[in-house]
Amino acid sequence: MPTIQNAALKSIASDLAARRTADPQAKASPEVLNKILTLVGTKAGTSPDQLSTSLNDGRITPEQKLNMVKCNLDLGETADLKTLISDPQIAPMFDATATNFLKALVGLETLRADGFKPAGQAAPASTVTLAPDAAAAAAVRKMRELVQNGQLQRYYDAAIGQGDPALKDVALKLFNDLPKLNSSATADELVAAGLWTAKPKGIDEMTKSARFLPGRQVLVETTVHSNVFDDRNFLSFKEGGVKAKTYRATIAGEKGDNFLIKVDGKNDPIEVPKSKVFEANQPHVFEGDKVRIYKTADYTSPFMKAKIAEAAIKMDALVQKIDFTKAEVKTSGGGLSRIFGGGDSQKVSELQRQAVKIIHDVIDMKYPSGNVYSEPGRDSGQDAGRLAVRGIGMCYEQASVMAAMLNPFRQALGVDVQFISGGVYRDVRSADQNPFNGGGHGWLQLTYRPSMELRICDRTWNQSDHPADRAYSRWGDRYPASNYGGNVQKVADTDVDVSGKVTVATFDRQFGVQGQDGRDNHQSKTQ
Amino acid sequence: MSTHEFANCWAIHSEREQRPSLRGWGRTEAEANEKMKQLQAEDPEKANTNYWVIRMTKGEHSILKETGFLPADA
Repeated sequence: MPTIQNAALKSIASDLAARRTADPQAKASPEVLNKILTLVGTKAGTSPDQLSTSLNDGRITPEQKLNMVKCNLDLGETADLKTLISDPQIAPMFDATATNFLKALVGLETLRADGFKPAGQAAPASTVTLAPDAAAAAAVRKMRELVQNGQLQRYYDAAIGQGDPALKDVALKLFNDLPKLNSSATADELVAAGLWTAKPKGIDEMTKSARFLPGRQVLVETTVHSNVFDDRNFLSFKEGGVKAKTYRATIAGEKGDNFLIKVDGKNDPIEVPKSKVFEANQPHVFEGDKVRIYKTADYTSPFMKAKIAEAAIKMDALVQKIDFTKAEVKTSGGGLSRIFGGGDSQKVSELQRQAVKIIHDVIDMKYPSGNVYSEPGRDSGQDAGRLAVRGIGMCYEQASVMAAMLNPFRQALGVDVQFISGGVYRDVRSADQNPFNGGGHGWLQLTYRPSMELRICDRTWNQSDHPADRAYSRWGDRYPASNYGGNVQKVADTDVDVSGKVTVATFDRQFGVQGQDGRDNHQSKTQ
Repeated sequence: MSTHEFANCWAIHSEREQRPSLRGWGRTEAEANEKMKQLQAEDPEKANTNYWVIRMTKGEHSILKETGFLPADA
């Protein structure tokens, strides 16, 4: 009898060994394999029945099934499986296909192309057309090939009528066959679709991490210094000052229905209604297969599917490096508190931000200027996916397309997205002029979980990833006046934790630099 | 071939250090050009700034009304 640690696996192994002892020719049925895989392939929060159904679904490829199980396999289970399949009594009970699958699961072999047969289901005698999920899997494999060999642009060109006419229908069919991923998409779905090899480690814990906790930088409305020419004090707290939204604020605690917010320029925290803090800082949700984020994000559109698939495939290698368990910094002395952010955890947010930059970079949109409207194939319509392939748009439009593209990745990468409509400071001429009335600019405000770092993504200003401190300073030249569109996500019980048991790292205030952080046109003072 | 739907409104943009933004608008191209000249005249950094007028698409026109940059009767 092999030495296996997992009690349930041990029980299965004992049973197999007993049967083999009773009958030297006994074989393990497909149901036994299914039981083993369901046991090691599910974790808290995932459904064994759902996994079992998927493993028996002849339309899902062996590779997809392998990924489904592998993503939940821990070190102990890997060791136990290795013990099981190397046991001289039990190993011969599995047929070649099952043995190959188990060995591929623990890294001892490569999965065979003709691998894993589902339990109790005969393979179809012949197929004229592929079942929908099998077609999606084939399309994903083809997209991977095109990304790798640099031929994807040919397919985009053909699909929009600008390339090889003979390729157009082929390209559109390929894109249409790709899996649909909308705002509800999860990391498991991206893995099951074959777009990701594995999901980020620790993602389940990350999705339950608090959003509103001590140390988190937030936007709040209060009375502030409004002299844009005094950049060090600009937007810090001022008793009796102009009421405006400031980024120079962090959560310190709570008092009843209010958060206690520490604002630069004031020693004691101010009280701000929680509802106001949520309104300004909760992510925006754009639900459904077809949703208006100013432009229309149609997740059934072949162009949207293609661009999302392209981004997912290109970020796959990065995603495999994301380990949300490393986002936590243990406090020295082994105290009870935990801190997210800082130290090694910066590597996690760097990886997240690199993944977001990949999404940013797959979008081909130009700002309206010159002869851009005469460029062949450049679109200015409503389909965000079509615009991402080759489009034209000013700030709001490009932010809209970026938000549409980010939507399916927000849960999987841990990125909260807000679409901001705001003003700029460049037209301010004197210190006593209200600087908050300038318009109009649009961008995305991104908060990375679990560190809750606040950044912005501004496509038309070539800032795919910029710290909010600098973006919202005088030289950053952006004022986040209001939310644009979307529903503010309902606050969950796990979103708020001001107990102090968990905090996020705070960083020294950064100030924007003239000529680097925004538009610094003519911010001179008149005499 | 892409087709574009334009509104009866012209936008004034400027760009410095590859950061473009919307600066104003006009009901006609001539009006927008006049306003653009005023903005340029007031701009201490005009030597380093590129200004242009371009017709708005219907989509741009719609969102700029939604955001309040354009008045309701624009």
